[in-house]
Amino acid sequence: MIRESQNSTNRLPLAIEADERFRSIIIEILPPIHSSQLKIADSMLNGIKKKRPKKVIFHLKDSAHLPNSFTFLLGYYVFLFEKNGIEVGYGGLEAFLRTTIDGSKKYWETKRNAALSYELIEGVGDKLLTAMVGVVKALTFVGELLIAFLKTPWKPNRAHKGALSGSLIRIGIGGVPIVCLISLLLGLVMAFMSSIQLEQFGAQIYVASLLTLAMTRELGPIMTGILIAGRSGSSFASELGTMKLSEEVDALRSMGFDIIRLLVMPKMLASAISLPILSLFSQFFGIIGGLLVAVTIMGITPESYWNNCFESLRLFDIWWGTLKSITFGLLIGGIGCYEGLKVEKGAASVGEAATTAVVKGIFAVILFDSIFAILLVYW
Amino acid sequence: MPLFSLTVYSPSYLYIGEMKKVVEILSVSVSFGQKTVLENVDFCVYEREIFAIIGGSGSGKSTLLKLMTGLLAPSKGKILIHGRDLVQAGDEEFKRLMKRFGILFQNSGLIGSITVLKNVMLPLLHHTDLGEHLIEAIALEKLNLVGLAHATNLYPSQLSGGMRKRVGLARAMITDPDILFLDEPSSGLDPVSAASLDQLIVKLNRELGTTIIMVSHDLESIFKVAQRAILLDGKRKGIVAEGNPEELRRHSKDRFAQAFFNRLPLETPND
Ligand SMILES: Nc1ncnc2c1ncn2[C@@H]1O[C@H](COP(=O)(O)OP(=O)(O)O)[C@@H](O)[C@H]1O
Ligand SMILES: [Mg+2]
Repeated sequence: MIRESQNSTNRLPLAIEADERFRSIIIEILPPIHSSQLKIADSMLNGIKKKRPKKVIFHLKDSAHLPNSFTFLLGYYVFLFEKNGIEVGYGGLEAFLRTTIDGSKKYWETKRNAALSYELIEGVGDKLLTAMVGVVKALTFVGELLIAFLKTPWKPNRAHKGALSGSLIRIGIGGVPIVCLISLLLGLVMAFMSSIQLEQFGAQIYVASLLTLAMTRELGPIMTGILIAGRSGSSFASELGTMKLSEEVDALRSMGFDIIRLLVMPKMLASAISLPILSLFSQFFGIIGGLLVAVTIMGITPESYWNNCFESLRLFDIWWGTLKSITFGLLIGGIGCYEGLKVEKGAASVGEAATTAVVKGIFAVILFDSIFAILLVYW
Repeated sequence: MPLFSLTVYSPSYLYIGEMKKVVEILSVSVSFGQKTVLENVDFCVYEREIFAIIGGSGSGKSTLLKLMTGLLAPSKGKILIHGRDLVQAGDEEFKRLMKRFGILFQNSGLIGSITVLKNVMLPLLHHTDLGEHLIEAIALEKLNLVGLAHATNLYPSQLSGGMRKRVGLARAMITDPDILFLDEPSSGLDPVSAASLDQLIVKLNRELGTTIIMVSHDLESIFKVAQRAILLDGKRKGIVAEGNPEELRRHSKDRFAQAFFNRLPLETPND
């Protein structure tokens, strides 16, 4: 990658002289240093670090221009040597070497401290990701198909780590409050409305099964789908649309990145993982909303509410809802990204893309919900 | 049948006959939907030359750069890079060609979610197996070169337009590319930075032998650094003048070219 130079490719950038037990090592710098020699210099210095000498002496005979990248590399190793208790000395043009290398050494010292917190966040994200992937793996065969589909293109490359965990946090965790709140309110309203009807038949207790059935079979997945289509579908579209306008997408393509793999897949995967989990939250909070009304207004005890609730709860409904949610997640992610990538010119088109993504996303969720309902009947 | 007369000036000190062509554009047309932006455009760029693409806004300069870098496919015609057809090239060959390009986009094209330093490191992180600290050292050198060593840990949104341009330039240079494509590199720069940018361009060209293809409105910089230029006219959908900028300024017969190079208004809109 670093272009080979015409004449300096075979010349070593450093000469290394050590006593036989590697107690002290003299590193003679041999200018002119060319960028094609950096990789060699790097591995030579790394080799010295591994030998763990007591002392290292950098030596430079004649004054020469050292490229910045090279002095930064030296600074990096001086920093590492000193951290590992290796004494560092300078010879020849001692003062010149000391000032140049010290300057870049300082960069690495401050840099490492700053970097720590950043890497930590990424680490947590990746663990979360692994855990989430584990959950999905246990799901139905569509879930497995999904993973198979996603695993091949998702080979984490050091240049784009953290893309998935970022999306997961934004869609999944960011969506929790709104989904829970809306579902709770929905549960409250449904219980309240039905309490009037049920009272006429003296069947108040069935408010529990009504809410359980409604939330697990239909309303949990579809409400979550609609909310996330509004919340994340639009954000995918505007994020990618903005990236198109600012030529980030072109830049990534020109660097040889696969846009689908780097930008679209993580978002689709993240929403396919988040949606079923959010849908479970929604189902739970809807039922809680019913409980609140049942206990405070209808005079039902919490125990009987829960008993009735568990009687009508079917495991199949939960699986089916999960399957639906995964489909909704893929649809919302796919549509959002697709609309975003269609943006070509003008800031207004980003807004349009976001609106279109929401409309199409909600439509797709309802359409597929109907398809699932038909499947269930005629299967 | 030509709609206009093409004026071509080749300065006597350029021995074009012996030079290698790195980019060849062969009767290329581009349309977006119904709208045709470029029609039957033909030109080539020679190895180690500083080549300028000039023209009014919307005349298709950026479009031309995207064509040459394979980011946009022409509706008609051929684009050859080092003699290889960019459209016909397979995935592997295309990637190999792309690796020798450095591109500075008009809007800089910095990745908003990562720091300036990571942005500059990205091409090498992606393409090579060099150690991260080594890539970082190289990135720091390039950032130093554009005078932004202090901005490493900032995010692109925290920079001014001119700073973003310079970061984009550092990123474009990090692979020591054979061909550097620059879309309005001096827009948003103050005169001093613009002057040092000119210097940097000439230095890259002389010392590393980098071929430089730049889109620019900055006439002063064009006269100073560019050896050859083409002038695009949006109305005529193509090249209206080609040659050494200084000679075009003095001798071009085309009214639009005269106005453009002498920075004069056109009395009646040209048609
Ligand atoms: N992706 C696109 N979709 C539709 N129109 C485009 C697209 N890219 C460029 N254009 C149009 O092509 C013309 C030339 O654009 P451009 O090459 O960006 O001009 P400039 O010379 O200012 O760089 C403009 O009219 C622009 O609106
Ligand atoms: Mg442009």
